[in-house]
Amino acid sequence: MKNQVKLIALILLAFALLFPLTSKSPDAVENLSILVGGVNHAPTWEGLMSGYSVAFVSNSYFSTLTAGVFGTLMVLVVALGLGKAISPKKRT
Amino acid sequence: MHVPDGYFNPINPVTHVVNISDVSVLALTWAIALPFLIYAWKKTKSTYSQSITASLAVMSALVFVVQMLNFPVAGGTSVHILGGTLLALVLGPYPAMLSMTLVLGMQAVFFADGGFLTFGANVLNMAVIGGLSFFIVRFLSRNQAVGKRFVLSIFAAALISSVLSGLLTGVEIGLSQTFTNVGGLGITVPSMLFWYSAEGLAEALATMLLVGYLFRVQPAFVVGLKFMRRGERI
Repeated sequence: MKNQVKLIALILLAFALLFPLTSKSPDAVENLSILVGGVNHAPTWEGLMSGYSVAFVSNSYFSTLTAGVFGTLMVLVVALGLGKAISPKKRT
Repeated sequence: MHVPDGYFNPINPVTHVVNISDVSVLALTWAIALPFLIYAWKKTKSTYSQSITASLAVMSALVFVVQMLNFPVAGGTSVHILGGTLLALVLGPYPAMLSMTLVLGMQAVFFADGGFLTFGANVLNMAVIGGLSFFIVRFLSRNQAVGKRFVLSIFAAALISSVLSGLLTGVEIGLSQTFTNVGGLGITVPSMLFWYSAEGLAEALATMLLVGYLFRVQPAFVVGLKFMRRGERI
């Protein structure tokens, strides 16, 4: 388990370091809408942290970092649950 | 790569008539993705004799993070690594589908990255295609997880799955009423193919290096490769 914790810490550190270097250009699917002159439909769900940013953090880097760390931890927790559900039960 | 709900309108907002093409695309993608997920769940439960909880959790977190990191490709567009082939090789094809679906679900719920109506499409494009790319590796490497041929198989599988994901996304969006009116498949398919061919090269290289590294330093972690032999229980 120690190795897994180390790996998660490493993943989050890599994210924190790499995130400022990521492209701010629109994503391929978003760009399709721009190519055809804009598809303007209100989303049905805005998400709790829409656009991977946290409303109460004004600095954009820390806002996305907070959202990223939160998302990673949430994925981790739910994946642990999923892993337990699909793993074989220990026989007593 | 995540298709948002806004691109599809099951009910035309102006005429209030059911939009047959949009409903068909959404229904079809759900109808294809769901059986794959049910099969993946059953197959994982019946095939794995040891717990993969730790690997599944770490790999899901890794893919979530990797998908947040966009890099530029031509035409003012950015793309991100999908991570499907990586998951398939590390976890095995079936847990990979479940893991990617989980990541997509969290992205949709918390970050509105990808829609709920389009969730079936996103699962099909990324989770199902990614998981199935394992079989490209198995076919091309002739079930041998060693040597240059195996490494090249990983490269080819990651590239093919990325291009296929891009193609499918382009077809789905191109068939939506919104895009049919402004060029449809003629615009969406070539654009997605172009962008995801470029992304595929980066994905292939990253997958090849990462799987190679994990296999060398933590071979026990790469449980998916045990699937290389048919019918083996893991």
